[in-house]
Amino acid sequence: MLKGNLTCEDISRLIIPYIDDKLTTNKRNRVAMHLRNCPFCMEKYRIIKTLLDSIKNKHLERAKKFRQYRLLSAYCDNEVSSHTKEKIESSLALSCELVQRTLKINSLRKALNQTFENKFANLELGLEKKVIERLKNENIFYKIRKFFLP
Amino acid sequence: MKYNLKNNNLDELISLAQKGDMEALEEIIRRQQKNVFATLYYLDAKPDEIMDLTQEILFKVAKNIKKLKNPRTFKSWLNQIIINQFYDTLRKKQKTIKKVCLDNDEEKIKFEIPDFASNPYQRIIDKELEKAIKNSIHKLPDPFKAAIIMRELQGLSYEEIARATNSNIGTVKSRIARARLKLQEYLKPYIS
Repeated sequence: MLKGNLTCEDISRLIIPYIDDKLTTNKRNRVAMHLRNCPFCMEKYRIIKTLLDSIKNKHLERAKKFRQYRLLSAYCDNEVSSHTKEKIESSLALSCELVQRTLKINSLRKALNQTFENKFANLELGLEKKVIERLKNENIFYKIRKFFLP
Repeated sequence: MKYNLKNNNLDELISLAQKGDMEALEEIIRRQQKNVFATLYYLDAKPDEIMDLTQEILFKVAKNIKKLKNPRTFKSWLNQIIINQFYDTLRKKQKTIKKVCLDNDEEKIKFEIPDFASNPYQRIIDKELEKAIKNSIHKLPDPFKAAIIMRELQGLSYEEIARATNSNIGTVKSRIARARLKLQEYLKPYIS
């Protein structure tokens, strides 16, 4: 247990849990008290806090961007509700960036679809006869077995 | 590979096949074989195994078609079989001891599907793009790969993909979007 006033060394251990709000009320108050009285620790606290905030914001920003992309991707597949569709279309009218992203998704889809179609357009496998033959043979085999081993 | 034949045609064939009509069953297989083959090709099955694997899957379809309750779920069901069979083979292979090939690399039989595009210049561009697309798809993590193949190659709806992969529609949406983001990144030099 930490007794008496906290030292600067204690603060460097407690500073991250303090920012994450993971300390007990008592500890939190004591850290706050130290920070108020110690300009060095206060400086340290400010730097770490700004750093962590910017990382968090970056994550949030990325998550937000992906959510938007996910919506556009589903929109391109016509897999959104009519209400969402209307909402997307009205945002598309206002944002060049969104239009560009949608166009990119569509050109990717087009490239994939065309390639897939061309690639196998002339492929002849002729497996249907073989498969049916095998199925018939297996059926005959079962019938024979059933006949001899009732 | 989207077929122009309407869905209810396939539905009819399925219900006929379920009643024991062999010709209907043969027709279903005739129509689906290319799909199965192409899906395996993009799932990155080994070239020398694709044909056997395709036949195995089609045989399973033929054998078990009577067990399919709702003909409308045929596509999901077929894809479930494809994916299970594909990963089963992969797992089995991991268990067996790896064999070392002593043959010269050049002598290895190359697996090429003939290409009949008319313009030779266009053919080269198409070929390069196809290669890039194939390699990019192979690079995707498994769930993304399966989702994007079912969507773009086979034209399955999100619901059908969800059913085939035992996941919910939200997951399918995310997987397709992630796959597209990655593909856009990989194929940047080819697609404007």
